[in-house]
Amino acid sequence: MNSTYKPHLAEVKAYFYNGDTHLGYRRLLDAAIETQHPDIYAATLGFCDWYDARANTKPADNSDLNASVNDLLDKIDKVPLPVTAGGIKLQAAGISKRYSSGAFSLAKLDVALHAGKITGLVGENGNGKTTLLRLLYGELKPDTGTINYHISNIPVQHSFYDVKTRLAFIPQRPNAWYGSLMDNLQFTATHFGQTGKENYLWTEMIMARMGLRAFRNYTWGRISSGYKMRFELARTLVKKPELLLLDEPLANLDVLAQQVILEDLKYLARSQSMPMGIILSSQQLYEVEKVSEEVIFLQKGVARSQQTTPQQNTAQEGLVLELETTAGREKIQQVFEGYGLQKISFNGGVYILYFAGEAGISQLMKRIGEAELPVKYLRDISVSSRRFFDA
Amino acid sequence: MMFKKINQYLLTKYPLLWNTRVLQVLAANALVHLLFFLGGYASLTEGSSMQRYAYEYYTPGLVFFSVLCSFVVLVLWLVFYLRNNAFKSFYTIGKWHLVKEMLIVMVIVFTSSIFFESYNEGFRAKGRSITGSSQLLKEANTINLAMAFIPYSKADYFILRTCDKDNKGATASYYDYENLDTFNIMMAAADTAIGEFNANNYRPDSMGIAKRNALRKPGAISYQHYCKTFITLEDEPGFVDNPQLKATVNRWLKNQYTDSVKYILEECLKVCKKYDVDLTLNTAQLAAMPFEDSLHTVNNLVKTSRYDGENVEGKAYISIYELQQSMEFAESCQPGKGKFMKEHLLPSLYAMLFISIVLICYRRFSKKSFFISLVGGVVWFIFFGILGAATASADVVGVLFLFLFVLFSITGLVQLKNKSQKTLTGVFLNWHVYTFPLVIPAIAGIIIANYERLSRYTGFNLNVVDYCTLYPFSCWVSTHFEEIAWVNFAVSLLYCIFIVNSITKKWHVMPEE
Repeated sequence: MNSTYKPHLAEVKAYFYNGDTHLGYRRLLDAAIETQHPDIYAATLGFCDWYDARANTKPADNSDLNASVNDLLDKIDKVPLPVTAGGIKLQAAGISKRYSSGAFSLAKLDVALHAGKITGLVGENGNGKTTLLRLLYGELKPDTGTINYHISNIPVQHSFYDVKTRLAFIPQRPNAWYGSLMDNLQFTATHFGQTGKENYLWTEMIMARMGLRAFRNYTWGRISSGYKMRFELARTLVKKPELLLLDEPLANLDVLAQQVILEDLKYLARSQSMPMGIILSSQQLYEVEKVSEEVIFLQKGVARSQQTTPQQNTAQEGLVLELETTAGREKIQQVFEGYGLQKISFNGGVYILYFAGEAGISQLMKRIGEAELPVKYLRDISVSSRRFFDA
Repeated sequence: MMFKKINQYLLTKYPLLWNTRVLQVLAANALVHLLFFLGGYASLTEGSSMQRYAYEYYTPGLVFFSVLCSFVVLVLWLVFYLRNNAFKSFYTIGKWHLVKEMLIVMVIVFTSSIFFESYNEGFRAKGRSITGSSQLLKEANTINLAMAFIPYSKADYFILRTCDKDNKGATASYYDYENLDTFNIMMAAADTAIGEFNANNYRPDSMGIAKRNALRKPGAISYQHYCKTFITLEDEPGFVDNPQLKATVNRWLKNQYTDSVKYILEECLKVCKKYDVDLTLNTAQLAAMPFEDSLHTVNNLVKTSRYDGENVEGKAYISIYELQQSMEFAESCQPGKGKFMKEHLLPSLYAMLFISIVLICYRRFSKKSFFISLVGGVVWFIFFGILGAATASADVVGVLFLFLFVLFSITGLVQLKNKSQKTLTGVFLNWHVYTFPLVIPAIAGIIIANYERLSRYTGFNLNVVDYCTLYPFSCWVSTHFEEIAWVNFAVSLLYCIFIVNSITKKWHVMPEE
């Protein structure tokens, strides 16, 4: 196996071997896309046709599937991986914004977006998430501060239009577009240098990756709002953007689709051949935190940046638990007496428990078991932006 | 299948051609033009129908149908064209992408808006098939010679009629429109009751006195003096002009060529029959008339239509109007004689320019800016209409228009530079673009209006030559308005291509607030 592909291809093989074929299928397509090679695209699309046809027959075992996958992985492994360097793509320093209506202002903040990394943007409604995204995309002019874009694939003598060709902003409600999905993807791809047969292969690959092959002739009016986001994402990916800004991409998706989209974004961002920096706003705190390297929490226009690496935070701020129980506040206080419980807040549904000192999650769970506290739900939110929300 | 393949090829190789659907639209337009051409071709039949179209080939109904077809084609085209917009989506586009798109839009709009011209061309083609250029020349020479022997106005045979080519316009027309019979009655009166008054009040060398003296001469109204071309084919090789015609007539009169006269009259009747010209003529009688006396006096006139005066059954007449109409139409059908290049091309190009500008603005600016500017544009239009009607002064309207143009332009461009108020800037820039092609005509209009007003003040009775001596520049503008319109069209086109695209690109990346 090609050394650079090794972990990825082994992962794909493992997924299929373990029966996680849907995930394996998506990751297999990721591997094929990484090659940027038309022959691999053609072979992969052939596999996709076979895979779709096979799904209708409901086969008893997966031996034929595993053989086909191995065959394709071998082909992929033989192609050199075109690795693209990552690095910083956007650097915003001290940017702030006050609307002329005076109704809202975004306080000064710094943002850095790197290729291969996802930044989550969370906060309650009306706290400046969309404003920040529009500032970063250049749709709004910051009152203070500067935004520098470090875009590579544009002419030396470039205009801001050229910069924006390499950025992609997907608003919460994407604008309607007309004609079929395939026509739109091909039209976009042609403008970004994919012509002739390559154009067809590339757009088909993106459609397959986004699970839209069956919808290639669908138009905007025929698809659900969830699929509209997928359509829009596919069109954006065809452009191979260096920076992707998404405003509430999970808003219209069911729970399962949210997970799939976020996983897809994670894989796409971390692509070796075309890594991109992604910033996405969402209300789905825990889902966003799962895939983000950094989370910016916005509260009334003021930003709090949060690294999502556990060891960086627990040491600084102590343990914070989110607990749903039928027990009352007194019972909880009684259970955790002597464990450094400093504060309890309650929003009517769940309790937020703040612990100081050396108390760890294992100790506290042990204590819950001993005290037979009726737990419906328990989550460690020490490194989550959830703790910034009021209860 | 073939169509699908071409479409796919364009989509993956030439996205602009695919997006604008230019090939499909041009193919459709070619088909519509062909249908209009065939319609025009089939509409014309030999005979009386050739008399009806001397001035306009198309009827209001045809123009309406043509506009309707244009509307249908353009709407169908827009349904596809407006689906995608690479520029607004921030797709990578080449340096000349916007220029190419603009030119394609202009070509489509132009070819979609002149279907009735194909109808005309069909008409003219059929006209040419009935009467080709050599045939027309032959017929014109025949009619011109024959008309010397079909007298319907004594003025044509008056002794003072000149064959001087250089003075043809002034002198000939003077006698053409002078009714010599009425003049004779006046002269008779002058000889009696008011003769003294006339003698005291008119210069002896005046035209009236000259005519009066000429009329007293024997043979004042004679076939010998005929020197007129009924149909004139300018600069046409082989065309028999006035002096040649007069020489032939006089040779035939002198040599008593009655048979030649009769032959040419019969040939003329054949031409008239071809065009279904209403007439009742006796060629033998007409051929004999010039030889009734030695001075070849014109004693009898042929009526110019069956309704001319008191029509007596069997009395000679020829519908001069129908003959003229037929021949003018036949001439207008000849190559280079159509009205499109001379009269219709420039207005069509301007219509194309304005429609294209509106479309391009829609494609370049946000919908909000575009629609505000469009509604505002209509309001401005109404305002200027009312102002023009109220003041009845072209220069007041022109000056206000120029003031607003400068205001829109400066405000729009300054805001564009400062990157402030995107929507409002877009509205001003839209107005700037809409009004740009009208700036030079407005300036020219002000100059002409001012010049005419000054001319009225300085000399009410001055003629054109005097105006031009006093105000040479204004005179030049006034007499070269068409050339100015052509230059303005070229300037506007270049401005749209090279400047507007650049402005809109800068506007597009402006932050909204």
